[in-house]
Formats: sequence, structure tokens, C-alpha cells
Amino acid sequence: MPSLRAAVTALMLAGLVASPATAAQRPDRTGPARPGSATGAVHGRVTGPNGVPLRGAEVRVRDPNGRENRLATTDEEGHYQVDNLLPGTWNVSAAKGGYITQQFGQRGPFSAAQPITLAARQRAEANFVLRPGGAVAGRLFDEYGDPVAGTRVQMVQQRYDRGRRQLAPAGVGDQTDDTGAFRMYALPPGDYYLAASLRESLRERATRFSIDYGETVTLSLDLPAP
Amino acid sequence: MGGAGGRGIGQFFRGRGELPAGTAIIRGQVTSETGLPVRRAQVRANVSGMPGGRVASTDAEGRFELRDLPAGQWSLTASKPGYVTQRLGQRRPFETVTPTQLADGQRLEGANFALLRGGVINGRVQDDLGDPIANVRVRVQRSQVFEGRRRLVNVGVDDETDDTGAFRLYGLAPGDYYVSATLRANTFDSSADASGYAATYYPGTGNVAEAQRVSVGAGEELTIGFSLLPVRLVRVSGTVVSQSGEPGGGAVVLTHGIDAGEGPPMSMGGGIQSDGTFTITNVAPGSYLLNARSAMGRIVADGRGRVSAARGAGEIEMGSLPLVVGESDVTGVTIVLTRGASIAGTIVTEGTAPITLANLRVTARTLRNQLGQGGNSAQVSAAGAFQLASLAGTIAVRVDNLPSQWMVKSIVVGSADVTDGTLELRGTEQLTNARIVLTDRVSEVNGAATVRNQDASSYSVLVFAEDPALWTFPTRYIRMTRADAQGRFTLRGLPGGDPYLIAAVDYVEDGEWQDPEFLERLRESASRLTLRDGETKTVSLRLIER
Repeated sequence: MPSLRAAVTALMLAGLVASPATAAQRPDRTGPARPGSATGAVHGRVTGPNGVPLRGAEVRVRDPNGRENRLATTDEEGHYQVDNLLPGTWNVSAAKGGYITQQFGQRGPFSAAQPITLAARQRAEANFVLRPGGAVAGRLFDEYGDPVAGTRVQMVQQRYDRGRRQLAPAGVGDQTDDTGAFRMYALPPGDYYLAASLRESLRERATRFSIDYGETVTLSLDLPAP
Repeated sequence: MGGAGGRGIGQFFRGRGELPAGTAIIRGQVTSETGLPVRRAQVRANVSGMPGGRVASTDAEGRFELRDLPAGQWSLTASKPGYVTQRLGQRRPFETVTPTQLADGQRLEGANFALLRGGVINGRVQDDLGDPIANVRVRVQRSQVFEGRRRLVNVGVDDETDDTGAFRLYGLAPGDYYVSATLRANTFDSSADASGYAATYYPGTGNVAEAQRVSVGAGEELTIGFSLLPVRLVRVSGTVVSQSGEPGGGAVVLTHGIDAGEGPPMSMGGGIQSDGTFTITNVAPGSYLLNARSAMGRIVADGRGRVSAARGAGEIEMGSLPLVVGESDVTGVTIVLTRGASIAGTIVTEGTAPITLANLRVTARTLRNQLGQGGNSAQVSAAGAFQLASLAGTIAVRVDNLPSQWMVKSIVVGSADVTDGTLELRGTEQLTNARIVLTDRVSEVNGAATVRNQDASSYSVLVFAEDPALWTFPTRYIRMTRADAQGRFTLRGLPGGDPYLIAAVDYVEDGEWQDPEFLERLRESASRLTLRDGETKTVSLRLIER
């Protein structure tokens, strides 16, 4: 069991990590702009594909340099509003558990985003229609048929980078629980490999499948004998 | 995916630490409580005072071998997901064990573990309207006495909810637990609409006093569900004033949850601007401690989120302030940073046993809430001089690396005797007259215990002052040890004079021996013991079975 001291140190670090490393050089523009200054706002609505409002979706408004990062949560009607934004360029994105995160202006999961350019005192509207992502759930077993617990599973996708086909991790992955179960979600449609590796015996197994919007794929994976 | 194995091997052997190679061997087996081998269990070995450790994985028969171990005090732990992690020698969860002494060239066979099937708490976390919430960190804590106070300690089991709000906490030792859920508070995100969730204890409270304990039996699976408490998030802002007049830099951290009676442990922070101002966003209502520290205008970040204060040119300055946050923004907070207090003094010896003062360290341990200000430690000079700087809050002074022929007789700082007590440092006091007296008149109590007229083995011995007034942390008047492999125990260094109680108990949980309630329960079945300084006594005890 980790000592309390270690836990406390970890908490402390977590706090510090969250503090921007560039704090000392940061211009004085944190927080709401001062009253009377010519600020603008971004507002809009987040819905599902059938027009149903999504409540509790998180809308993030960031400046491209990553200095400002404002978060709003949608209400029962799916509405949100972020005030006190300085004139300039802002990236806006919407996310909700199980749905595919969307940047404003994106046509598809991997297409380019479109920043909003805000003039003084402008109220820009940014609406989002989020689509439910696919999910893959399953269990991992070893050669004895025992569930493999505490092992990372990762979705991997083939992408083209500078004309070459490359494997790239997709999503954040998951760790199997004591029953060998895992679940990864909010996945854009496409063809994936599911990869699991047993670190101590350096064995890996990957399996290929495809997934569609809102679909849940269930599969079990057996690691080969050494 | 072929060909990735080579990279894996390299990664596997790198995180090993700098443990020197030795000649001792430990072998053993990991089974379940029912005697079935546990395959692919992980056995970790650590040796006290050396960095790094060794890891072995059990084979199809549950067997493992750790080779090339240097001599030392070894602690072994066996773990397998779904089972309760066990330390070598532990017969019950949470039982305190002592390390195993290993000599050069020794082959220790029969380091066996019998793992208990862990309990499971699973369930779902939802919002106030019943929708599942993803990415909520769910933690398990248990109540334990630590440094003389009862508080919640992380068990080391946690999970993050998926898109259905589901979590699963497994491998839990039988016991009573507190379960809390926190929606990751990302201080990069400045809340634009002030809506958020408080860290919430099951069954739905931000206050641990109202939390409901969850009792889990071995191998038992429980299902619970709870809703996060919606709260209004506010921002806390103010100015950090440096005593030295140096410009800003450094960091502020807001913490709570160190004391039982508060919400789940959490901390959040922000940087100090060049003009000394700071802002912390997304703060839920509650009582906090606001800590600030500078590094003389320099704070070092390595780009991976690791931040360290640059020491060197000057001392770190620090300050802290209790803060109660309500439902509206807190502005205009002023924290004055100081270099803190310092203590200088000397160690003197009374006796003739050999001792090298320059091998000793004097440590000032900061108690209570002072997060990140865990205290300071100083090397002692050959003449016995030491100097401790940057101290604040409630501290306890102790001497580390003492040879066994020596013990602390007294620690006096100014007019305060802090041998068995603490010192309150609130400002920039510079205490220069600390005096630590060591003596080689070390008392010893040794012996053995019997149970039902037979020699007892693997038990714990507690010696504690009869007078509960001597139990407050830190104290030399409560000591515990485990019997050795031959069933004998030895305890050295109890101060002479005051009457003691001594008891042999079949097992003691972590922290329990510092718990006054536990000591009171032992009082009736314990035996009386008196010791003079330098006296050695041999006693025979009857084992108390719990």
C-alpha cells in the first residue's frame, strides 16, 4: 500500500502539473476580461444526430496558443455560452462521454477544424451535432484460459502519413480488469486493430475489425502460448 | 504487429533501478488460499535503504526465484489482479510485518504466499439527473491511524468510469471502505459557467462524516451506485508577497482532504505571475489550505509537467493560509512568503560506545496539513553541529541513522523539550540553541511468548507506557516489533523510569499500534514492565489471540 506521504506527494504534483509551465511569461489575460473591454462571446447548442439536445456536454473554447482554455457545460436544452472572450481566433470543440468529440467546422472525424474569428463585441454561434461513437468491449484470456487482468489494450489504426501507411494508436486504450474485461468507446467509424500485449512474457496479439457509428463490437482475445 | 517484441525487452529491463548485484537467492511459491498455484503473479522485492528493486513472475506452478540479491533487509510483496496483495509474513490483510534479513550468499527457500481472493465493489456514477458520467475517477480509502491521528488513507485501488458510468474496484481486502468519485478537475479549463461537480463520497455527500462505509468480505462482489453532487465552481485569486522583495514565480496549491471530516483528498493549483498575482479556477466550496512557495523568482519546469523549485541562489520562500470557499469568487487573498524558521544546534553524546556523528542526520518532520512542506533533513558535522532551514508549521525532530548502541535521551529547542513532542513554528524565528543528547545507556527488553503452553511464533510485541499522556505522537513510549523466525523478540531504546505495559499479540494491523483505542483494549490483558536506562530484561509472555 502506498504511504500517505506518497499519496500526498502525488496530489501535490498533480496540482503543480496543472499549473502552466510558462506561468512567469504569461501575459496578464487570465480570467474574465475586465468589464468595459470589448469582449465577445461564443454560444450555441449541442444535439445528438436526431436533434435531441445533449445535456452535460462539455464545450471547450481555446485560443490557438493554448493560453486560455474555457469550459462550458450544456444545460437541459443543450445550450451553452462562453462570455468575456477577447477579440481574436478561438478553437471550439464539444465532447460528451460515448460521443465522438468534434471540433467546430469539422465535417468528419479526421477532417480539419475551422477556428472562429471573433470581432469586438461579437456573439458568434457555434452549434454541434455529435454522433455516438462505436464501442468495443470484450475480454482477454491467456493460454490457460485464465482472464488476463491489469493489461493494456489499445485500438490501432492504419493511417497514411507522407504517402506511407503507418499504424497509429486510436483513442486512449483501456486496462483489463480482474475478469479480463475491457471497454473502449467514442470511437469514430473505421477499420481497427485491437492490440493487447503481455509485458512480462513479451507476447502480443492483434485482431482486426470494423466499427460503425453507435455500434458496439463484442469480442474476446486469446493470447498465444509463449 | 510482429517485431515489436525487441522493443519490449529493452523497456522491460530499463526501469529496474540501480540495485547492485549480490549473491543471495529467494525462492518461493504463490498459491491461492485454497492451495491452487497462482500463475503469473508478480513478486516484488525491495531492500531498505537502496533504490530500485526486483520483480519476478510466477510460472505455471506458481513458483518464483529472485537471484543475485545483495544482502539487506528485504520486503517481498506478491500481487495478482483480483487477489489481495500480500507482503511476505502477512497472515491477514493490513497486518504489519517486518522485513526479512538476507545475508550474502544466503538461499532463502519457502518464501510462500497464500493469496486471498479480493472483494469487488462495482457500480455506476451518474449526474444529478441520472445520466451516466464518463471519466470519473473512483477511489477507495480506509480509515487508519497515521502519525497518531485517524485519517483516510488511499488503498491504492481506483478506476475511471466508462461511457456507461460503470466502474469496477477489485482486489480489495475484507474490510470497511469509503468510496469517492471525482470528475477530473482540469485546471487548464477555466469554467465559463461555474457549473461542476464536487468530489463526492458514496452515497452522495461531499463530507466524509456523512459518508457511508462499504463493507466487503473476501471474494464478495457488491454493487453500489451514486450521483455526483452538482456545485457552483468559483475562482480564488490574490497576490503573493515575497518578504525578500523578489519578483513572482513559483506556484500556489490549494489542498484539502488531509483531515477526516473533510471531503475527498484533492489539490489544485496555479502559477504565480511575474507581478505576484495568481488565479486558481474550478474550486468547489469547502475548507482548504492555500500553500504558496517561490524559488526566488525561479521555477523550473522540464516540459513534461514536472515542476521543481530551483534551489541554490537563495532559500525557497513559502507561506500558507487556511481558506474557506463559499459559493462566490474569492478575490484579494494575500499570502506573505517567508523563508520560514530555522533551527541550528549540536548533538552531544553521553557514553563511550563508538559513534560517528557525521553519519547521522537530523530530520524535522512537518506534521498536519503542510503539503509539499514535508520537512527538512540535515547532515550532522563531525563535531555534531546541524542546521535545518525553511521550516514552518508543526514539526517533530528526530535523529536518523543512529547505531543500535545509541538512543536519543533528549531533544531541547530553546526552552522547549520536544523529545516526545512537537514544535510550532509560525514565522521566521531563527533558533540557534537546539541541543540533542544521545546516550549509550540503551535499555532492552527481550523474550519469547507461549500460546496454550507451546512456544509461539510469528507474533507481534507491543510495549507502551501505562500513562496515556505519553502516547501522543511523536513518542518513544510506544514500540512494536515482530518476533523473529525462532519466536524471540528484542526491543531496544525505551526510555527508563516510567512504568510500561507489554503484550504479545497474534497480529497487529498497520497503524493500529498508534491507535489509543487499541492500546486501551490491550491494557487489561497486558503485563506490567519497568525498565531503567541501560537495563536489559528478559520476559516470558502469554500470547493474546484476537
